[in-house]
Amino acid sequence: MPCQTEGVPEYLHWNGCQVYNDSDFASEDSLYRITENPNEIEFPSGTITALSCKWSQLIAESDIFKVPPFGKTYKYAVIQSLRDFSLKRVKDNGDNTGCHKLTCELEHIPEECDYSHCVILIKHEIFSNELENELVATFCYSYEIWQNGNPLLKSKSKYYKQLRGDYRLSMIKIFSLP
Amino acid sequence: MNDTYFNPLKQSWPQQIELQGGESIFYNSFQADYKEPNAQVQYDRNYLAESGKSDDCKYFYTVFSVFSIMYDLLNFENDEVLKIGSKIIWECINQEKKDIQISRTGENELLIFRNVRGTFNNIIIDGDCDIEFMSIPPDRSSAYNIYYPLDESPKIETLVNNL
Repeated sequence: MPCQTEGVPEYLHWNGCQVYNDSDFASEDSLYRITENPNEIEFPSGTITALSCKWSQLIAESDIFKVPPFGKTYKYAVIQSLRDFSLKRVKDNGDNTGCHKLTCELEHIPEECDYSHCVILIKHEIFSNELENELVATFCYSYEIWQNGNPLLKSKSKYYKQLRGDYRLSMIKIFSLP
Repeated sequence: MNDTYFNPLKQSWPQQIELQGGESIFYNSFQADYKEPNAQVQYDRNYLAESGKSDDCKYFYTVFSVFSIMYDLLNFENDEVLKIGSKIIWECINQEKKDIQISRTGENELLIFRNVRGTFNNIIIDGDCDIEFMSIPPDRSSAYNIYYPLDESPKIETLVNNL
């Protein structure tokens, strides 16, 4: 179905163009996040995984308010800062003991009227120890898995609550005001 | 304030809410209208205006009503959340922080926050009544958080000091 949104620059319509991979996001590129509420933690902005962004490679900064979701303010992060990010915590009791490591994975998910749309997913790896020489398990949390699945990181124990809380804080710190 | 609390959307709410200093307010007519992103409560303004109750009492009533609406919206079923919410709101009144806002996060948590000169100070309460405090200043790299699991409940006064 063709885009019905008015005022969207022609180059931002997807029109079935190429969908890129994580490795196509260059370190010097930026991601823009529209903030619907000034308080970053507030609904609907305050999600953890599948952070919705616009990719500077495919959208001019001057056009970011011309495609939905519309907003008045935005924040940005340089891809390199997301590549450099990792959060590690050792879990030494209960199930899934070992070193849990959270990193970011980028997924280009074009929308009909926003070719630049992409999301930041949480990649969750469990290693047998801090040296990371034995990978025990790996997960990548899409929006659907986070909302409808039973993701390990969403468990109710104190350990996982603090791990995902620290990830949420890290993403807030990485995204700067323009 | 006594340890009483109420939930305007439940049938079992008390008819009388006792507040600090012996004040109490009675439920009269109440309508709630939750409208994102700013929750609004429409209450019987005439009743409160003519009730002779203190401004603190009215403020508590208004804010806690929103808190209760959000509690129901999130499908929480944990009275501890209502209890601690009522205590936090009353402590805010005691500390003259009468500009708090009630909302929710994108992760199904209750949110009590203030905007202090561009710094968002957030008290985040989940369905288990575990609490996280998160401060987000304009210099976002200085953001920080503190966890208060239910079994290590903070003094409400200390928690609200941060707000």
